[in-house]
Amino acid sequence: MHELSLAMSVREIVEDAAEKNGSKKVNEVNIIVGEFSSVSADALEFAMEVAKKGSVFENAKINIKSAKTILACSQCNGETVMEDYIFKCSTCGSTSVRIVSGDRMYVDSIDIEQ
Amino acid sequence: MHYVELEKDLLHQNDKLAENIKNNMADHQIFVLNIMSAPGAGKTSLLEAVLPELSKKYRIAVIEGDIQGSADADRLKKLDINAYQINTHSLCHLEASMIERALTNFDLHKIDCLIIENVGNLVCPADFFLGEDEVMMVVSVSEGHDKPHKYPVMFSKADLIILNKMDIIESTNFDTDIFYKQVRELNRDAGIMEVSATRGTNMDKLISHIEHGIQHKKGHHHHDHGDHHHH
Repeated sequence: MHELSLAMSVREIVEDAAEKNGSKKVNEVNIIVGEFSSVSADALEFAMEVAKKGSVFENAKINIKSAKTILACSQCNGETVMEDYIFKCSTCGSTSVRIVSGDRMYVDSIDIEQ
Repeated sequence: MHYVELEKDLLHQNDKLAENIKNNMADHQIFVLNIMSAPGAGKTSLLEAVLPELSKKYRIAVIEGDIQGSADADRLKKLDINAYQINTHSLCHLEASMIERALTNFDLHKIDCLIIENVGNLVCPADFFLGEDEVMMVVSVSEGHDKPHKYPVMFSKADLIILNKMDIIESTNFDTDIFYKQVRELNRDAGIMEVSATRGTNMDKLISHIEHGIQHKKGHHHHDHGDHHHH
């Protein structure tokens, strides 16, 4: 459990981006949490309520979306959604796959007032 | 209203510091091992079993990560191992910034291998790259054979999985077939070693594995390798 430090990382990213874009008010923060990361979206949402106090996004709407894990197959070059945490291509059955997305968490975008 | 695309990773600061550590270790040709497990799987016992032998040929440094106390570093210091204890207090994992600070306690010109013993936890340490060449995961048979399905992220990131406490397997209901099957669904390539740290079973295999890593780093320090678990 380290969602509060991740929430503080969101704060730093959003404050930095707002400043670079000359904005003093952020209306919306969109966060993506990959299913294949060790973070709970619920706990992060709770931590965001603490982290946004006194920031440029104090009154912003925080949207946290979870993202499925996407695997790319080196045999058939297809991409599949990972099921049950099994590393297997659902098209050709090969286990020669790697994660292309869904293992990270990031601030996808923000909506600012200028 | 103005929409700004960021796609900025929440762990970008950790990842940047970890890259710096990785480059620094490459410059010094130091092989770095990041050991993860649940509490009590036997990480420190494994180190006690292999480090005296490795220390005869190589200069080993250990960073111990624990919530509280210096018990693990003290155990290794008794064996004349160069160990430094980090206390994370409430934090559930080690971060690159902690490793960076801990490294100031060592003379990097006099180290061949850095071993990082992470906080005992099967969840959070898996998300934090520390600049290592290899992730070694320790699992003990008393934890049960269903752990890969329960903790898929860490199992998928391990380069080597040590199955420890094999000497007591008869007293447990651990099914090695199920364990191997579950591991392979998550991780095709990781080596798996069945050992007993306290009995010394297969410690020679682990010693030669680490030795190979050290030699490889000495020979290939200008190449970029071993970062497939990093993004």
